[in-house]
Amino acid sequence: MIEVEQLRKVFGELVAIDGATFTARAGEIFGLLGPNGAGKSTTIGCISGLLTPTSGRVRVTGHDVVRESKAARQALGVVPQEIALYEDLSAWENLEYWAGAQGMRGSPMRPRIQEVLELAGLQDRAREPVKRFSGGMKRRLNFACGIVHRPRVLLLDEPTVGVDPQSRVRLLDLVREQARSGTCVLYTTHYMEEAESLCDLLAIIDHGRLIAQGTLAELRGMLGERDLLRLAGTFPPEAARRALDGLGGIEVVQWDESQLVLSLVDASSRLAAIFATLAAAGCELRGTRLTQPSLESLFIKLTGKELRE
Amino acid sequence: MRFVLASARKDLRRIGRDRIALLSWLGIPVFIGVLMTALFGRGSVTPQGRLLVADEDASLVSSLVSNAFTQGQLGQMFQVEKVKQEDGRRRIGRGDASALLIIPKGFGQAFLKSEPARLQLLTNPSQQILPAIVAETLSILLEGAFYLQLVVGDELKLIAQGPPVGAGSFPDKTIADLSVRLNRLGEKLGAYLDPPLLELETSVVEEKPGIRGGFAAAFLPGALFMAVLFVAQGMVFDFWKERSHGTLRRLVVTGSRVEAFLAGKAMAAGMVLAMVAVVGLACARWLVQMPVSQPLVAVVWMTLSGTTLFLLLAIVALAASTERAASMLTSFVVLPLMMLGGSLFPFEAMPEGLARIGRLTPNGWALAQFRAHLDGSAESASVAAAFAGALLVATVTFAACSRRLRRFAV
Repeated sequence: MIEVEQLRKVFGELVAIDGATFTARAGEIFGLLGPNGAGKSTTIGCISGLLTPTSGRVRVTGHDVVRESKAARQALGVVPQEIALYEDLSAWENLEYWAGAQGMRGSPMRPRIQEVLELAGLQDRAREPVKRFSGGMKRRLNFACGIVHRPRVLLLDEPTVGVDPQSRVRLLDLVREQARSGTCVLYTTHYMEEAESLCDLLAIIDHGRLIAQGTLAELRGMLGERDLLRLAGTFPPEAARRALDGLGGIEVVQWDESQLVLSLVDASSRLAAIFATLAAAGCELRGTRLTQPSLESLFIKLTGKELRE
Repeated sequence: MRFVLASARKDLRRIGRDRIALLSWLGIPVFIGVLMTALFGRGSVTPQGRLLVADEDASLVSSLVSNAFTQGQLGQMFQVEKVKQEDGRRRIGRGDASALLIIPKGFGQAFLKSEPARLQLLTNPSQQILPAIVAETLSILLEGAFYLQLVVGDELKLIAQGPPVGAGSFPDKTIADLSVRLNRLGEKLGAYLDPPLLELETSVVEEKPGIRGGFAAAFLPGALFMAVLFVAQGMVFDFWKERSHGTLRRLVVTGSRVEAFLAGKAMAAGMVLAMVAVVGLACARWLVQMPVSQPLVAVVWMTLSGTTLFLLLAIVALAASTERAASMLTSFVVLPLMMLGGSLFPFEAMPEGLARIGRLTPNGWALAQFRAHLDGSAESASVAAAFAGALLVATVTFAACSRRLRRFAV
């Protein structure tokens, strides 16, 4: 449904996407996970036809988005990161307009709008101007406008940013429903827990490069069931490294004079030994945090930094 | 085409809900029409003032002086009211009149005897023109009196002396002598004063078409085009609003073309302009009694030319790098267009050179055509040419706008 091959997009000196390749299939939710500025929205822009790739190829339902842009766009539904609605129109009028913009017309439109309003839980507020809606309601309507025409491919660009927990649960349910009905969903987010709970396939993106992709299980396997131990304090460089090498089975993921991030199996049982070794090497410990294997720990292992940085 | 209509409907709904903008657009011609009518009335304009005359002499000569202000055009300009001196001074002190003329007792006799005499004129300092007219008129009258005394001073003195003591009237000899002297004087001056005999043949070639209804009627078509420019400027900012709200980006990734979106916007602008035209022409017809000989053509013309102006301004707004720059750029374009294009001042009130330039501006040209539709002076061929020209410009600007809009959206 979505085939991205060696996609590259350059803005002047900045390489926003560098050789991204992935495939998302019908009925799947493909997650694109990365921090702000990693290149997620640029990838969505290239797939939706908003941006022209510098090189590489993108196909949507078999249509090249550059050469057969109209056919590709007709198959697409896009839910942008910003709330792209007409605030002085009602929810119904917004849906009617966006359905028309996607080529829907005639008698099927009214029942579909009604259906989508019910899905989004907005049927009681259908005739109210959107400017009176809460942030969560606007997000749900923003989503509804993207699916009103029953797209075969749905691009969701961080649709839950700034949403209250109740609306977030509802939105994620809506995304799952779309996938169940056979839609190919590409979902970008920087929330780990969302990606873990929602996506069938995941790609991790940083600085425009896809640094890992696969199912959640495959990605966890890359981490090898290793815990992440984050230590804060003062660490004289060479002495600390020599001391840790002596312990064995410990990988230093990130190191500077005030922070040390270690990857190791069964970290909780080895804490006492690590603390004693570091103290003997002249290190001063002020804080400790232990993280179980997760996407977050994988991201830290792959990039050497936290996702929220 | 369906999305064009859907897009236009969407914009019209949004405009309809922004009541302040809509009312201000529709209100401009109504407001200006009412203001013009209140200031200048429905007909041609003649300022009117009040002249108070305190005639303490009550002689034939003093009556001639005060009656000079009731004749001809001065009579239309001034309402002359005879008052007592004290009352007159009180009223001029209150600013109740343009001027007070005091004719002292003995003025008539002094004039006839060529003796010094003094007229007193008190003027209202809050008025500029009318008191100056009174002073100038008095100055002309006094100059005339001076020359009259030079020419027939002796005769006037004779009349002033009156009949000999004990006689009820002048003796026949005196009257005959006076008549002969005046007759000879008339013959002598005739060579200088009588105009040469001319046979004047007059024929009306063509009545010059002009806008009836005075200044207000001359101003109102320009005011309508001022409203057109305001509507166009207000509506082009919607491109920036759509961009900042993300709806334009969203539209670009749908299956619809930006051309349809732009056509919808132009259609909505055209419908608002048609409403402004109908309201404005109704005001012109009923408030100012301006002749509207081809109302349908005038409305269609205002709609078409206004939509073309909207597209021209859209190019300017879309070329700007920020919303603020767009606001400044369009203002830089619109204000001079209003001033030169006959919206702030009618072409008739401009120096000829400026008026000629003004008629070459897009709105000035459209306004000139519009006025021709109103007074019925437009010929079919020129109407067709004007419509074709406007359509051509609209098509070219539409193409340029849609080309720019794609890049503007991203």
